[in-house]
Amino acid sequence: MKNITKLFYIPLLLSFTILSCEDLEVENLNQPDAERALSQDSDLISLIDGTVTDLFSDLIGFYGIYLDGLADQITSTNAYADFWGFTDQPRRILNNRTTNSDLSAISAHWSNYNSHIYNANVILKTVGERNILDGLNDVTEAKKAQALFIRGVSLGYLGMIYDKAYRVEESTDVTTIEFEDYSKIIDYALNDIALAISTAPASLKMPIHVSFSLNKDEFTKLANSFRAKIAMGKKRGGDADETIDYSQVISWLDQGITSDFDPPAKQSVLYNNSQDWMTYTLSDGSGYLPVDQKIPYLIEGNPSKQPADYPTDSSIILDELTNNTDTRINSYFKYTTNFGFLRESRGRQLFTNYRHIRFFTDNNRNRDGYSTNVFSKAEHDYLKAEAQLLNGDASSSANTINNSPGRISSGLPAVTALSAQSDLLYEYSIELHLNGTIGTNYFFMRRHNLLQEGTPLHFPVPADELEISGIDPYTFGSVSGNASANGPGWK
Amino acid sequence: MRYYKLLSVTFLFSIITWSQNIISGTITDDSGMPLPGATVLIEGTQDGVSSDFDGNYSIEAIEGSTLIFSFIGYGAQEILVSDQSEINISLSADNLLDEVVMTGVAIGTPVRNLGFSIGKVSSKALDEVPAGDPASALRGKISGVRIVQSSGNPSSAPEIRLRGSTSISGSQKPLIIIDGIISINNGSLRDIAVEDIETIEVIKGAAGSSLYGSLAGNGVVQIITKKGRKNQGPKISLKHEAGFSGINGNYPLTLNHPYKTAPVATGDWDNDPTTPNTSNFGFDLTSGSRVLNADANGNTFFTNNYQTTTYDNPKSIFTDQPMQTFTGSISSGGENYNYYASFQQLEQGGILEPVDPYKRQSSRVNFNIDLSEKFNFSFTSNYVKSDGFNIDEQGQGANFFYGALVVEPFINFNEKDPAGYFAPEPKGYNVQASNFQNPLYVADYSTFDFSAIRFLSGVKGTYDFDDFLTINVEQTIDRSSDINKSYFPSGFITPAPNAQLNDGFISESRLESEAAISSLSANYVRSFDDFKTALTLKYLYEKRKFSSMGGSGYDFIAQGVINLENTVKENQTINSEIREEVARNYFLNLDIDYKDKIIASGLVRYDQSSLFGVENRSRIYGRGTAAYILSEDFDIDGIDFLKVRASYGTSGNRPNWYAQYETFTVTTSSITPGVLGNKKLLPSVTGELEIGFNVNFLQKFDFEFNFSDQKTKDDFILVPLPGVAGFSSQWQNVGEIQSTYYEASLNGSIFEKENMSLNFGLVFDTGTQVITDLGEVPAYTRSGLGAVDIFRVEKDKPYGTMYGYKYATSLDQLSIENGEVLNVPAGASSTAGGAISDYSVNEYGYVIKTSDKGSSSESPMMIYDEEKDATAVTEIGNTNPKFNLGFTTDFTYKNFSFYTVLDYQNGGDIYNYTKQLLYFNERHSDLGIFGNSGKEQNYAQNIYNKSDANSHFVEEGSYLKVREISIAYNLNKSDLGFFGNYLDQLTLQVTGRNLFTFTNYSGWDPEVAISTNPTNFRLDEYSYPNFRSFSAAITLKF
Repeated sequence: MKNITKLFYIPLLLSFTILSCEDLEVENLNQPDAERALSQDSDLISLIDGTVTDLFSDLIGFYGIYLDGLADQITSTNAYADFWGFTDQPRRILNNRTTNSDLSAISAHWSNYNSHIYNANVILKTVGERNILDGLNDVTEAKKAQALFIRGVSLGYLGMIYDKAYRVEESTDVTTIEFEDYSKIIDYALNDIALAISTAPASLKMPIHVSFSLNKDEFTKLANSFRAKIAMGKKRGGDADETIDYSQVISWLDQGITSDFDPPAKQSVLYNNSQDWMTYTLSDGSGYLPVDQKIPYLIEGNPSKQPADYPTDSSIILDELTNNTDTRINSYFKYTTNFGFLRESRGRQLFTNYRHIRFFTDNNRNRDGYSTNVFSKAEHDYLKAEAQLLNGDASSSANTINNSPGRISSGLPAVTALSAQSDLLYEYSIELHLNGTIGTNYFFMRRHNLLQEGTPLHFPVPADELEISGIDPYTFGSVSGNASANGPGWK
Repeated sequence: MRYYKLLSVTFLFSIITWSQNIISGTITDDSGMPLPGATVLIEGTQDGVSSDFDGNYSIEAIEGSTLIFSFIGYGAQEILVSDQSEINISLSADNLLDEVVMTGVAIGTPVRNLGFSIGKVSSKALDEVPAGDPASALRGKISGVRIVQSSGNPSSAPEIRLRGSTSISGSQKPLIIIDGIISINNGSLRDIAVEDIETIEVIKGAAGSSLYGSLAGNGVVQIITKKGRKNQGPKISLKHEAGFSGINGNYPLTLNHPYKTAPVATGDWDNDPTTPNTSNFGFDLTSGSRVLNADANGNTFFTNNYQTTTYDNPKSIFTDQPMQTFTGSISSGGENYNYYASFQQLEQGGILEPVDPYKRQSSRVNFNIDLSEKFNFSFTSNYVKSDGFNIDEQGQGANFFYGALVVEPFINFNEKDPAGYFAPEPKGYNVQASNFQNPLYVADYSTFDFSAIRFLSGVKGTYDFDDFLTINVEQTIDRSSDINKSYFPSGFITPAPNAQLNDGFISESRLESEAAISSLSANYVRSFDDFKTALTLKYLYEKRKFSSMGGSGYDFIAQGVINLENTVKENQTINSEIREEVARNYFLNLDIDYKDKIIASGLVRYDQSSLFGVENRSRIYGRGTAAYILSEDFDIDGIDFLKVRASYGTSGNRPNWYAQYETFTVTTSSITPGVLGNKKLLPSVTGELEIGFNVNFLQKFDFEFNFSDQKTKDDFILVPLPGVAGFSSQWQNVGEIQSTYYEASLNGSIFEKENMSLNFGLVFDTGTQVITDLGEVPAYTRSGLGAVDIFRVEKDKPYGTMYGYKYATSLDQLSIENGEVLNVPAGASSTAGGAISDYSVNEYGYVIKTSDKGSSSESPMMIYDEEKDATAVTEIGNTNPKFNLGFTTDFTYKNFSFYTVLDYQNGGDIYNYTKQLLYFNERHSDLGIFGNSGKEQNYAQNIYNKSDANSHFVEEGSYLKVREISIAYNLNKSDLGFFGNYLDQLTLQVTGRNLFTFTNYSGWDPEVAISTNPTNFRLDEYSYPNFRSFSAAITLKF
């Protein structure tokens, strides 16, 4: 019987011993908290380097699709992800409600760029207090320059995309912060980028991703090009002060990139997701987000053959382009009579016979080494030509376009002072299609009132952010709507 | 250490007192549950004793005397004393009130003495017609319990919901306990063989579930499995059930289309030189694609017929599939022990032609032994192995249910390619130009398998120090291991090039989960004059672990080698995760019983868990109950038993594992902020006041009524943070949700004769559940539950409210400004304008602009929000039913028995997104109906409204279901003649499950929902339809 008692007694004692000791502190071994994520200088470096990658990833990311829809670069009748909502004609009002299941089309830029600004401010706060070492090397100034660049470009894109935004610096009290209009936000952005350039040490090595970095010279050129692009983003026909010092812009561009800024893709880290979606091709040879009829219309130059809108008469199928002057066309676009996912019931005027073949790589852009096409020399040239044009120097503008490599090889006749603006629209639509950061065509067309009537001039602050702030939602877009394009635009 | 020494001395002292010449044993009920307080009396004397709370007794008696064993509500038994030293007795309950329950109470307690309600499915009900799974066995038997099989996938278990929701964003699953084993993550009941179950006990609200504190905010379901009986020879049972399952009815699809037709001919319509002679299937394909068949006014009507053979593709996919179950068990017991062992093999094919059946093998051993007069040891274990197919539900593309409904009938899914395999793109695929895949091809060429192993075990030791004090030590483990694999061979064809799938893809994940729970408790039971008291102190220690590892890769290097290493290195991904939870809980419970008529109980529980924020590591829960058995003091004609009771208790739900932690997402290239941590995060607290009464009357019927008012505070919600915060969101204790329920149940015997009996059960419940507070969180519509976001989270709105665009059905719903109508037609972006006199109600009940009738512009007007000066996004539905009813009958005549279960739900809306997308895909039968009534084909597309949620696709989800019908013929030993020498019983049974559904719902089945919360999120989106089954079974008992 004693043995039986022991049988009971031993587990009883063991239970007490085991049960009493275990600690309730359980670490999250799957993800770090701030203390672990940022405890070492190497973590801070990883944070800011990673944010550079994420920033560029967003600049060529998925949400560019919507801006290309608004710019009539692509078309769709697909309700998935609300693609149709941004291509539909007449233009719709932006659905800026928290009830909108696809609100991310409007809000993703907001959360993405504000998140990058937060990370940049973590670094800027740190460098205000102490130095950051990479091993034995003091990289404080380099990381500060990176952080300022990130904050500047992020603020710049918030200013270009939205009507207003928050300016948050490393010392800002976010509980008392208020919105500022796009013009001021862009000015803050330009200040940050200027400071980034002046801060960058000679030893700067800014990694775009683990396999590709910029030295100080390359960084300075890229930063100058970006600040020129962002400065030009002010102009949109809105209510804020849209004054731009075009001479300054030209000066920045003269110190900008001298060749394509095209970091090679790093699979699942940095790739052009915008291209990935828009070059996606269905099994019948049609495009998932195919080329908008605007492009054949501009190329053909003959509305009777290629009208601005696809004919609504279902018996009409438009023929292939007959104007073959531009030698780029056959390597950029492909004709098909298959309409794929385009639904006649949703508006035949949205149809197209062209899909993308430039940048098409078997429905996958996410592979090491593929081009990312962040900032082309062509865009740089066209920005300069545009600044010259808006500065009253149309002949220099024409010269700049004519000397741009894409235009030289196109076989098209020389641009003249009179045709500079329309040729810029053509070049943006053809050469810069899928070839640049998000919204490249949208921002350009907005500057020249070329957006289709009813197209919103910018996005409102997303409804979920407004709800958090206790502000009633508002929105833009639709014919005669607030902050909407009012002219015939490119048509 | 002093405490342990004291324990040791107490043990030794107890041993010394053992060796007295007495008769002892255990008094249990039918299921082996101990009966505390049962009386053992020596006949003809006043000498007697009562059993302790474990049913143990000890009495001195001389040889030749008779012991009378009795207990309130149980039939007495008399035993002649000879030379036995131990007599174990099993008493049968006279009625349900006297059955002992083990759930929610500190010690086994008869139902009559409870101060809160408990639902119980008896062994008799389970034996008559074992349901397909344990959750289904609850259907129609307990009020306030909703069982929803939101998917017909045979590997999925129905979800159980008890009363109202207690969490806005957390799980709604009740705590599942199996023989005292607290299951891991409220694990699947699909793993438990129904034939092994003795009883199921259900506690529906916090007033009853307080004993489980932060584990049981959603209530508790405990399954108690069969035990062997002492002093009983081996009882063997073998059962084989076989049958088939099939789909209920047809989906309403159209056989019309709106396209221009042409004589059937062949040509190179698709501009593909490899297929120069393709049929045009009777469409005008001269332009390369189908074109609408517009009339002179540009209008198209959905009235054309297909010119070629049409195929019923759903029938190719949904076919009758076999099912079978083989079950064997043995139970026995000796003087000091009893055991029950069983095994079961189950195969359920479901209704999908192309996929393998769900298979499960399980075994169980329950063992109990008295190692001494004071020390009892018990052991239970259940080993389950299951295999099946992971079905892709919701979504498009490869979703079988999407493909089955969206494909037009001129395409034949059964078409084979030259090699004899199903064609990935059957002829005509490019003509329809949709995005579905041929399910038969997908199933043939790809693999989505899972295999799982689950092991549950529990050991328990009980030591009686004396007549009053007992110590229990218990250790339980629930461990599961799941492996999921998917594989696409190189050459797999997708509608569009797919970089991941076309050149070979493989993925595999392994998940390990474990819940190890130890407990130590002391019970002290003593009577003082008219008072019986029971004091329980318990310590519960929980440790849970979860780990996973997975990998995937694509682009096979060598064909035929199916492993991750054989994929291109750059295309390989790996992931892993590990989580642990530690919890310590303590409770103290005191039960007081005055003369078996006034019963009161008090409980305090103190929970500590690593899931709570580091600055708030504990929370207190508690309960107070009172019951008064009026029938003990008052004689009321016809009333046999009457009890009134009230209970207030709290329980709660724990935050999810990640909720408290500040997280940064780390990749190979970056660190970015994720969720902001919350060191003050607490579990929620659900407080419930439950008031009710039980009455037995006319010696035939028993009736129960419950009123429940339940309010959850400190519910945790993921609160969005401003964009400038860096972190996207934070979990905060800011939510409140309240529910009120009324429940009633009536059971009775209509007649009981020698050869015939008829019994019935009727349960009813109705309730409301409302979100009462969201703190500073703005109202929002849940996202990510399905293709449309419709379920609204807003203060003062019912949980289950649907939001979307609402279509006007009367002219007074139009908004007018300066004489102009402001409303916007569905599918349009701007107002159609005009005066109210320009509008009318069409034949489908929608307000339209009269001049648009019959044209492509005809469209319902959407309700306008004048305050916001925009089209209103407003309440369009509510998933909560008005009330639920369950009905069971049990009729026996001689050797025949007939059993049925009916289940009725009144009200409760469903959002039919399947139908909405079929409007877009031009496949729903409504389109043909519209076309034939003169509607332009665009009318349906306007109603579709750009895929936004709208009132047209909200349907009432009332239904009456015949859940089970069973006819059995029982042959007992005496009926079996010669075979009676070998057999105790033979039963032949025919059963139909889910046989009929009476409903106005237009989809496959109104019992459809998103699986994460099937009672509140009733969204129909291409899920596996429920099916019916027919089976025949033979049971042999030896």
